[in-house]
Amino acid sequence: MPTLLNLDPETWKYSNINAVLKKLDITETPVVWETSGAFEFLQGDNQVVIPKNKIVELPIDVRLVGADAQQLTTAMTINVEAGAEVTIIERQSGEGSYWKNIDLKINVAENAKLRHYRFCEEDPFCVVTERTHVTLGRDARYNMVAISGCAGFGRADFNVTMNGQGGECDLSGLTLLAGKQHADTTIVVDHIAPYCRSSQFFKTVLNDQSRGVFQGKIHVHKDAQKTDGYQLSNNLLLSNLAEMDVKPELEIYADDVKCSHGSTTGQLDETPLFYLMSRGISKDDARRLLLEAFMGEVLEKISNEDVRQMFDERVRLWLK
Amino acid sequence: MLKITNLTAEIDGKQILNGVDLTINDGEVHAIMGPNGAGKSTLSYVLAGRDGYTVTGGTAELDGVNILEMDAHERAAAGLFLAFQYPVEIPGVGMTNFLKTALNSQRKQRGEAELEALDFLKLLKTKQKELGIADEMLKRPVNVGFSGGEKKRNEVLQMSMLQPKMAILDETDSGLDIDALKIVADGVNRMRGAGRSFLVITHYQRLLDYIVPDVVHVLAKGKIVKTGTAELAKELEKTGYADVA
Repeated sequence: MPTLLNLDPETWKYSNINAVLKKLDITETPVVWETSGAFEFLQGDNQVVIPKNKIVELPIDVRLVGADAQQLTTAMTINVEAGAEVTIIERQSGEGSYWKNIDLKINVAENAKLRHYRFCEEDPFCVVTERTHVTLGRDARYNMVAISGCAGFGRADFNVTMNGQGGECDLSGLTLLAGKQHADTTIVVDHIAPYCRSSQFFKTVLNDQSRGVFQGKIHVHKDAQKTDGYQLSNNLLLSNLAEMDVKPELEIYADDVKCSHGSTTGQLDETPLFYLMSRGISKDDARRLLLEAFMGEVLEKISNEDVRQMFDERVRLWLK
Repeated sequence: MLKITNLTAEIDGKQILNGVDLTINDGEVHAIMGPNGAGKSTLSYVLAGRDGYTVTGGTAELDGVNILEMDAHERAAAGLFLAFQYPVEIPGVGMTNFLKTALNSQRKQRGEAELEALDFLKLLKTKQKELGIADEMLKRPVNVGFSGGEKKRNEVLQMSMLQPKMAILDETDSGLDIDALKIVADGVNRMRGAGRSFLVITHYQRLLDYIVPDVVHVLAKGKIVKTGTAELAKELEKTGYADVA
């Protein structure tokens, strides 16, 4: 077991990774991240540094492709220095049975801005465990949107630490599950400094016998007054055999904060379905419209229009 | 146009319609009035084909074809339209996209060519103007953030875009102030004429001052118990439903 993976029994309650890994026949393989648009910012193989006050106009692409029988353990660091601004598109894909075990360290320094768009098109039989550790400095902004047509077994951990006043962090995700896929999103946002805002907005669409897990925690530390914390998890079950486990948590030690969380899990509403059908739209088309609408709210969080369109097109393909 | 014969229907095993007979000829406007719980909304849902409403007997023919055997979207393509009492909010589905999808789905089912984007927008613009609907309203998701009046006006907009043969208006007057009521009634009156009939379901006579019906029926306990002219509605307004129901 690579040391990168820390199996805290409480947060791994709903996801039995050992059982899954046993079934894989894999050997450790050297890892190569592919990048484009990153050349001048690369330090070593696995470190991207955006220097102070540098505004990078075009998105930087980082990509990790898995292949059959590989066990890929890797760490990547993204360092956005003070006042810098960048968009990073992280693409995860592959074919075959493999295990990607990724540790992503992100530091967004004072007044810097990182838009991080993760797009996962993994093999339906692979295993992916990815931990994203983010630290935010004063007035820093981190905007993350993850769109996943998921792995066979996927676990995405996010730990965001808000160290400086005025930091803002928006995490959003859309996961589409089918077959016997399993996806677990586990988030802890640590509000250390006061006057920070964080939001979590995650949706899952579950078909067949898939299973989704969402565990989101807003941890407001003693000095983090005036924290504005928000969390919402909406999940759509398209099959009677699909299962969604949601565990929202607020842990608050400061006394002047605003925190809220909400969660819904259910089927497509019959009422809008009938409304659309009564206008001449077939049941299948009506369902697709409602599904696209459900997912669209996450895609809307991608502020870069080109990226949003590209993600949107891929998602529509998955629906077919 | 629409011929309902001995229609019986139930929800959750409870019989609501107990043999409705109703014939609406081409170009006619009929009103159905009745006390709460008479089965007025059930009748409209049964005709439109909502899941959960089980037809246990009888027929409903639209131009000689029994629509009760069709899916809801097929009935719409055949020319049936239901203006909802409570129009449904659909977040994430834009008004324009919704109208275009609906219109083209119907055209496709009827074997007609789908409307090109430009022709569609032209048509929409015309109808929108007639009903005094702001551009801004069409940029929003379906019925989301609409006021009560806007929602009902939106139903009439959909009706005038889809040009049904047989339109059922289910309590279109509920929750409308008098100005909104007039706009809605004007929209309906503009569409009256040969080739199109209306069934106006209402609890109150007020709407019928603006949409004057050719025939008025009273529905009580799941049956038509009285039929008359527009005068009947005025009588009912005075005497209430106690005598007829």
